[in-house]
Amino acid sequence: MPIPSFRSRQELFDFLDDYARERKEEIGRWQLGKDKGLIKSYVLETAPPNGPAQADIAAILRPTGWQITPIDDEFYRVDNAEGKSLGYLEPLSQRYLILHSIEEARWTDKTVKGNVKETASLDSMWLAGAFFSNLWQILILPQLPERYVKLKFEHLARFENGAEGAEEEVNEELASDWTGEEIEERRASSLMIAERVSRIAKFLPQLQDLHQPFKAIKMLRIPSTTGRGGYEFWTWGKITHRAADFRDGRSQIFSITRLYAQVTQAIERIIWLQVEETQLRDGIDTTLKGAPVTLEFDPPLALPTFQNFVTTTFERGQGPLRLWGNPIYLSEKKVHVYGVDLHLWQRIYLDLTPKRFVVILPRGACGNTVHRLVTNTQRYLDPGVKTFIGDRPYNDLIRDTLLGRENTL
Amino acid sequence: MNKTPFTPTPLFQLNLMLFLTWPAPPSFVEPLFHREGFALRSIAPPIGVPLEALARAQAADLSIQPTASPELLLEQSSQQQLLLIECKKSSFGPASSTSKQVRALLACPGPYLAERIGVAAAMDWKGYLLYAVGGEQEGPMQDALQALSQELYTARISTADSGAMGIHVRADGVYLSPDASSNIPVQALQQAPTGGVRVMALEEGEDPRPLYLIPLDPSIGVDDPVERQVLEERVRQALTSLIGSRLDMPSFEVTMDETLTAVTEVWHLWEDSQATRGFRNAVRAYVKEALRQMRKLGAHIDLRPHHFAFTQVTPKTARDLRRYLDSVAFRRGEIDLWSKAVQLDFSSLAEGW
Repeated sequence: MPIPSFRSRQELFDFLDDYARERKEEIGRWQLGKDKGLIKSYVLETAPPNGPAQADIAAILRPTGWQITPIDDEFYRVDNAEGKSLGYLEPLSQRYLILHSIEEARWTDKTVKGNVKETASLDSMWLAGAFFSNLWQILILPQLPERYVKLKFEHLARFENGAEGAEEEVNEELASDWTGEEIEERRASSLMIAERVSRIAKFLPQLQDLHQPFKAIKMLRIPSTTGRGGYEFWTWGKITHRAADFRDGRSQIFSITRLYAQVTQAIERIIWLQVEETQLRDGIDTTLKGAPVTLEFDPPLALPTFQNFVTTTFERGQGPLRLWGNPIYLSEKKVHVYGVDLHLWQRIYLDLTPKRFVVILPRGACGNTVHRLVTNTQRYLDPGVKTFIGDRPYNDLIRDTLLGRENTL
Repeated sequence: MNKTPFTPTPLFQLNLMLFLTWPAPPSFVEPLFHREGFALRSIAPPIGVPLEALARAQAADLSIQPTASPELLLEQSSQQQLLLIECKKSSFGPASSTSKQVRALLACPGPYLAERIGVAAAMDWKGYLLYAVGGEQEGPMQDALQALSQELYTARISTADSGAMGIHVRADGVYLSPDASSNIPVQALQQAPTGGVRVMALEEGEDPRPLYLIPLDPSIGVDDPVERQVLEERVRQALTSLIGSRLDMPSFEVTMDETLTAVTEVWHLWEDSQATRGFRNAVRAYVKEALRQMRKLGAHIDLRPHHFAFTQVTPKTARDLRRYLDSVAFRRGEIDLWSKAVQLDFSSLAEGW
């Protein structure tokens, strides 16, 4: 549909509020128009402060070819390299950009994913199962017990012996986004639940104890605070608006992104491998600060799964983790990689065994890498993986940040 | 697959000690220094020996170095304790060159060290010199330390307390085993069961090496084949990341210091060392060859004495160069850091690379 031009963000927000209300009414009547996509927002992360110098938005987006036209000081219309409208971009901070779009989801998803992949200074926001679990436990369960939520779980045993390439990922977020239809249950490792919060609370813990893939949350719909419906947060930082209030959705996205930013900063503060120097009488005092990120597998990965992971990721340079490096085989069950995270082309050191992965990130590498690793490890290797930031459980770090107990200064 | 049985090296010991000062879950290591409040204060700090100690050693005809540099200096503020850690494969004889260095370290007691690093109430601080040695070497090392301490005492030189612990790699884990008479000021070591404290659990056949945070120490050298491979991969990794992460900019520079600091974060500690000169030349030669390949792909690269600069980087050039960096040819390409030909090659100095 032709997009009107806007002179101010208020005009745009009014338009998107009306648009969201119309789509919500259509969903309620099961009549969502084929040429009218839901509003989608994409949270993008740029390089961390003190890493590569902060550039302006135009410089950050240069490799994507996106053309930006200011609507006001901090709001931009975005067209792709061919001049086709992509949506509206606003910075939440120096580090986070949010793109809102009403264009066809299949196209916007492909464009955003493709451009982020090719741009070393851009990454998506990665929401791991532990992050969703904390939102569920702390925000939704006690505050909104009578509301309906939707959870989607997905674990693809990508590296189990013989499984490489056998699993086809179905992009159900597109199907649901575009048609408004509910998703059918496919199999135990890819399941969606839509139910009242208080009811889910009764069976979800048992479900997760019985079957680990229920810890690999791929999507959580957070209810709207102003009416029916909600906002579907997907693991890769896409949010599908399924409520009649754009402003409410935007506000929720801001809150979640700020929380995510605080957790990311806390991770970087703890783990960054960095030299610190103090001038002394005799010379310079040099110390090395940092801490490992440890991903623990209990039970350990099967040896063929472990070996398939190493071979696929490093020897063949394939697989979803996009890590680069030559594996140094220390023994059958131990491999070191002094590699590069190809999302951001930053260094990453990996000590891999079937029991645990130890990860070291040098200063300047983005803490986002940790969220991405955890998300993809849950999805493709072990949905029950336990992650430690130094000696602190990742889960506790998110919880404490959410409850304001973590020092975020 | 590396089939060579693992023999602990000083570089392994050093990196293990580093991890024991950082927070970590027990599934990886038991960071006993960190748990008892020891923090890493300094790596290879240069410590000048007190002048009166030098004078008295000379008068007593004892060989002693004027300065010494232990591998690690740990600080425990709550107990006002400094811990100097030195890693060695084995013990040494009183006439060896190592004994000159040990005498220097022994001649720096806690208050003197505390004063030099500038903490408050320096006179209240205690110091301890800990030698981490290969398995079964803690006894001979303890004896050597006692003998040298006695020599210094006889020469009226104040000494730091000292002791030795062995790093034992066994089938089920890595153990720290203090010598019975060491009295190391770390509770976990004082209360160690017979056989020592397990700091890393291993499965049968599992290699004990942690990641090498410090892949190079010129005072130790690199002879182990895996340690050489680690250093080679760190060089490749540094170049890949420094160039790959900047290709979205139309022009950018990468300096030699940045490259070497990415290879080992503590490069500046050794940058002036004679022993690293050959390594620097070898890295330079490797980078120069990689840049030559990138020029063939259309990259505009200027070589300067201390950096190289990419200019006119278009999105297409960026894609092509990233494809090259990601290619098997580059990833598997040989890196020679060891031959005399590259270590002594100064031909690129005129243009820097």
